[in-house]
Amino acid sequence: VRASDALTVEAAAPADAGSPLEAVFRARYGRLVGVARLLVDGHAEAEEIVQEAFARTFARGPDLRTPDEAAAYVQRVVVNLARDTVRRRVVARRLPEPVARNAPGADGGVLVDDDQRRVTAAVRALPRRQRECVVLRYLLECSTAETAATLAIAEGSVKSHLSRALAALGDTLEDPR
Amino acid sequence: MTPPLDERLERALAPHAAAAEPTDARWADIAARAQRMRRRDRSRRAVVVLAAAALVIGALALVRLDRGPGPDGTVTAGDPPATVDPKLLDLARASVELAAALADEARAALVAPSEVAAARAATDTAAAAWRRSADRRPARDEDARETDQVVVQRLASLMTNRVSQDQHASTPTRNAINLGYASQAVASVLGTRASEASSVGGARELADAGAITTMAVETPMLAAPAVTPPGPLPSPDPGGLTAGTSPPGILDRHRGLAGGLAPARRGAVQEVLSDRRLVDAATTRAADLTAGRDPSVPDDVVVALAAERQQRLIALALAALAEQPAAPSPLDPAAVHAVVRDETALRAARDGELWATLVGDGGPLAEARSRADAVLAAARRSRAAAGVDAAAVRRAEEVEATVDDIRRAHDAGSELPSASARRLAAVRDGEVQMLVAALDSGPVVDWRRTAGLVALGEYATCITHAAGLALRRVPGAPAPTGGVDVAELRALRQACADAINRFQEGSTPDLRARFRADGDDSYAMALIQRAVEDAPPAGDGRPWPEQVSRVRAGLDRLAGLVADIAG
Repeated sequence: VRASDALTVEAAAPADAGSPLEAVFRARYGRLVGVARLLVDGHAEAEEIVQEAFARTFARGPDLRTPDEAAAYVQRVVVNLARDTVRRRVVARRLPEPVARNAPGADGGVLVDDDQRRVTAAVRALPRRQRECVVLRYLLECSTAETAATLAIAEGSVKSHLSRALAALGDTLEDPR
Repeated sequence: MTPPLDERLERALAPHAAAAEPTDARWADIAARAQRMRRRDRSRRAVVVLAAAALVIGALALVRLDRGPGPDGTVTAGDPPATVDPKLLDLARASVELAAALADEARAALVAPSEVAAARAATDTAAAAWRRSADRRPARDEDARETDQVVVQRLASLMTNRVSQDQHASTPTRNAINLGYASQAVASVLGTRASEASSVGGARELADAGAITTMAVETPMLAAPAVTPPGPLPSPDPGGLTAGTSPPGILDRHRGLAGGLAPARRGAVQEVLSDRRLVDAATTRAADLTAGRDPSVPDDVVVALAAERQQRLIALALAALAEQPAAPSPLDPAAVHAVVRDETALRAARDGELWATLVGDGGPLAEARSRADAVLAAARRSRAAAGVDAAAVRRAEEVEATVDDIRRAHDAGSELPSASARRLAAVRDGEVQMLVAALDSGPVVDWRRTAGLVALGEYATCITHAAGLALRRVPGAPAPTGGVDVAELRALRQACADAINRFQEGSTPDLRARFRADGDDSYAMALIQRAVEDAPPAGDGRPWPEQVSRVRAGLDRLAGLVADIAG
């Protein structure tokens, strides 16, 4: 279900309470946290990213007049913040994270079976662009054009990244039997 | 029957959509945060309007130039500095100087408040110079454009950073960390341009090492060796084994600087990077903080050590950019090429021994050792025939002299396989310097092929090591879990990412295309990822031997690609 289908608020209200942005928040918050979590591999960071994205969009003022516009904008900010977070980790991840052994991972309690875990792990192992394309397509259900707009790349590039990603996933997830 | 991939993806990703609830409390928090942003924006708008205008103009100039036809797109790799695009060298110098200024501002923010104003002015001057250089020398590809934009954003965020600092709204440490990130972003500019001239590549390594130094000061844990504190070894390994040396902390990560620097200058670089004072001080602080004690090494001591190291690296980076072309190599090109080929084979053979140490039994291990010995004999003949850098030969032979001891300790069962593997990796890393020396001695230095070969080889070694460790955590492994430290796996995974990023940044399009076609690493990376997540079961459910053979098949293809590039 895309933002345009799920959201019915069309009022040209400012981006405050009852605004298109709040409608996007109600309809898309969980899904966007899921996107961020798959991109940055950490639930707390993912929530922080999505809240920051909404706050930035909120602070921007009333120029986002429809839910579609607001959703597209928030989506872009989420992806950009996630990229920024991953970039910062180039140094920070050299530090062994203070995660207790056997502590539940970022997906703790969410994924119910082994196949879901395998698929999620395989998606996380994809190169950044491919991972972004897969997550936007299969979790946010973005079209090729919407994915291209969010990632600021050409539609042809989206198709190419998706094709490579699916080939890699197909190989990784090949039935063991 | 397995459902179609589309369906599996949708089913696996769907639960992530319900990961968090859009509660009223969260919305209220977002609204409050947005109001704070608006207030902050209003208060600083008057202050930053001129700076913002300059940034916008700079950004527009970048976009305009990026969209226009670029200058001659040919690569100047291997040309001496005198013939490298002077605008590129100018941008590289400006980037190094800006990275240095940002680091100095971080130092002042931490320990010298009276110098903050001067440091900020110096940063502003360096930033303006960088913007001018970036305008004159626009990025030529998507990666470089993206990096430039990150720098522009980082520079803009500095304003917010300073306001927060002045209003005591954030700690000096946080400010310094932000400045460290900015410094690292600037160093990345050199990385994305490094494909075009070897001297720029060398400067990048040094500026990046300098930026990391700054970061390490703020978070001493980063600088400390990445190792889990000593404790009981996990069963079923027998007791009484040693865990071996620690994996390196980040300050050690640039000790293997490869390529881009004249051999004479590399000695000076090694001298800086071998200086243990900062590492020791940071390690002590990390230990103190971990134990909940007050740091026994004061802040100003650590910061002074970091500043000294940073300044020395920055000076070397600037010197690298001013390097004069080396005299033509007097060595026989065919003999040098033989060294490159044989050292590449030696690296692969060491990886094979390391792999067999981690996942093999007696037979494959003996075979891998025999192969490594045979390849080493051939490599030594090539080294002698070519007359490549005698000092590098000596260093390689020094580390090679430890191999017998490693093998004995492993065979006697007095050392964990993971510790033996770590020591073998150190041998291999010492030998790789021989490969770098040979590449330096070639008659034509093609930086992009050199960088590509070195980085892809490094990736192959990292992924081999990490996959070997990951397989030891898979249920059903003959010697499961023994001595495999998740922290080490994380460090190796990060090293894999660094190496492949370096390959993507520095190699030629044809090498990248060949990697895409032949470098099948997805199975191994998925395995490593699962092991890093440390959530049992670590494997993918297949029988252990099948997982081993699948990983091995991918690694063999990768090793074949590296050997093919080395020719």
